[in-house]
Amino acid sequence: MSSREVMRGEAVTGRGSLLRAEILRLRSRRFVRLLLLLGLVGIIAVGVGEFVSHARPDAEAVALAKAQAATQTQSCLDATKNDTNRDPNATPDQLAQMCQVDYQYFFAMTPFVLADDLPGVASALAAGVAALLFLVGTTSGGADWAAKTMPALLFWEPRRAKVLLTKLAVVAGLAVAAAAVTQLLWTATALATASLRGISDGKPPDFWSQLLWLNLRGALLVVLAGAGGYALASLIRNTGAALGIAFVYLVVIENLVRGFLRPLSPYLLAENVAGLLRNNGIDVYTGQRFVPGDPNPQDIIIHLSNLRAGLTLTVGVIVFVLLATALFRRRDLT
Amino acid sequence: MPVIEVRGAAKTYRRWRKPAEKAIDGLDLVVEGGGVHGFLGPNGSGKTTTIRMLLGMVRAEAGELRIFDRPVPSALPDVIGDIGALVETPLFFPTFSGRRNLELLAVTAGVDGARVDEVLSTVGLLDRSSDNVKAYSLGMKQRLGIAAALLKRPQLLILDEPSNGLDPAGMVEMRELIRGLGADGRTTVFLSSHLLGEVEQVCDHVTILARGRCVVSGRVDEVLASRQTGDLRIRLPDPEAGRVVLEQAGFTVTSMGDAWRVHGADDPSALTRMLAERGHFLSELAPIAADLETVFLDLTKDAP
Repeated sequence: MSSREVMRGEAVTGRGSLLRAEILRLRSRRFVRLLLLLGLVGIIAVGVGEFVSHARPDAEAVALAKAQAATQTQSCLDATKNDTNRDPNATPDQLAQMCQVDYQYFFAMTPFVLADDLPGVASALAAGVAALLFLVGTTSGGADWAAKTMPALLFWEPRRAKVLLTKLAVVAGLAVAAAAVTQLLWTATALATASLRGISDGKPPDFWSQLLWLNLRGALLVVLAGAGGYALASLIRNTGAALGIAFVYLVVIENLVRGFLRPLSPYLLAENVAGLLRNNGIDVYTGQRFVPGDPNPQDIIIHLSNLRAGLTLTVGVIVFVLLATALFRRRDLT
Repeated sequence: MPVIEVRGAAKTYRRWRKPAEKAIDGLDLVVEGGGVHGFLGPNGSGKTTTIRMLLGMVRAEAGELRIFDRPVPSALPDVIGDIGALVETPLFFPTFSGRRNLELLAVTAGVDGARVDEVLSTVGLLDRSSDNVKAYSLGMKQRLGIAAALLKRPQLLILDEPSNGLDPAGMVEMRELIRGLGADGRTTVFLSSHLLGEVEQVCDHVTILARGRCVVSGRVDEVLASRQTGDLRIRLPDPEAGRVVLEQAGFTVTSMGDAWRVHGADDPSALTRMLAERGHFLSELAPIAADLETVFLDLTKDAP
């Protein structure tokens, strides 16, 4: 046994766990609890709202709606026949398809359609939970600097990168848990609503795999939001300033870029969030160009696939985390 | 083996749109193991910066710093388990209870949870441990900071102004605690303080800092002895007659109860001879050592 081992104190009885301490610390924070409770209330409110705003129509309501739709369709066909401007080459089938009216529009209360409503609300919830976790991340990072517990923790674990990355990992873990709980709760609510007040059939064959893919993308967004919020607050060392910067960026900078620097639009946060959450991504208009031989300008459309949007957001957050870590490692803490 | 060793350390703070501020300028410091080592200096002399450099909070620009013979900050993770620290105001989550704050630190360091109660009891906070830290007075926060620093049962306890915010009774308790820790045979206390009386009462060794440099270091009694006042304490069988003789010889004499203080007596043998020639034989003669305040003010008088 070396002299250092002989001299070692008696109080340190086991391996310290910064990760465990940080999980306990985050769990103990009242503001985090409050935010998560608000999130839960929000999910329940969405579930209750969906349940009460839908109704499964009985046979009589279906018959009535179908009759109304048929009348509407016939009126459209009659009007089209007398229309002198209509396409002379249009076949009767094409005309019928053009005038077809969905009878579901005539229900007083529409049924909950699992195939449409479950993924639609899941996307919205993922965006909402991401915003919530951004707040959790920002306030956690800001609180560490406001209470100056970040430097104090270095008396216990002097490896700064380890401290920061552990805290980030805890926020990311919370984000995964929040995303999973949200999607599970919503899926259960949606199944119950569909069975009692809606339609469960008519789902495409890959419905469940698509839903799982959507939920994974949503979880990624929530994790990135939490980690990004924490990294931003660590860079700025102040919750209010970090939230202010985020607000100004989203409301002012992104709109300025959309207005004056359109080619940069595919790199904007809002576009990439939409590209990540929407099935098959989104198309982003980035300007116009002329091609030889065509006097009319052509729109330049960039497709933001799920993969591209996810990678753009991930790289952005990694850059923030690396910046925050590098700065924290170099900083004099006075 | 020194517990703390600093050789030629330097640090200049450079802040945007502000002039550079040289905080540490070639500091040498050695703290041997055991006892209480005082670290004295006027405001801005670099005490807290030195402590922050030792704890890896501030990067030294030059020099070598070692704790337990390991270079810091690079080897700090290896030795941090044996170091307890309280630097300026203790920092805790205000909305957590004192106990909760300590429990979280205990988990971080792998300290047995029972130790939390022990240290809370040591600093007299057991009864208030369930209150949120934001409800604590400055003195209570200071106690909680000491409790946190003691949690690891450290071999090196670094305390930066631990008496800040404590009431007189609390300061006495704190000094007893520090003295006790320094005397336990395994703990070295490195005590930064501007309270000269505290250092004089509690410390075995002292280092005095001025403008980022060490101006004197050593055992407290040796430092004091090295700075004589030039005054003598004398006792005579006939005090009044002796006083008259001394004053006639040009000395300033003031009373010290049953003895006289002779000011500016640089040559005790000449004084003894002069008194003997006039028939006064000393029953006691002792040089009066400077107190720490005098030494401190003398050594740091040129500091800004």
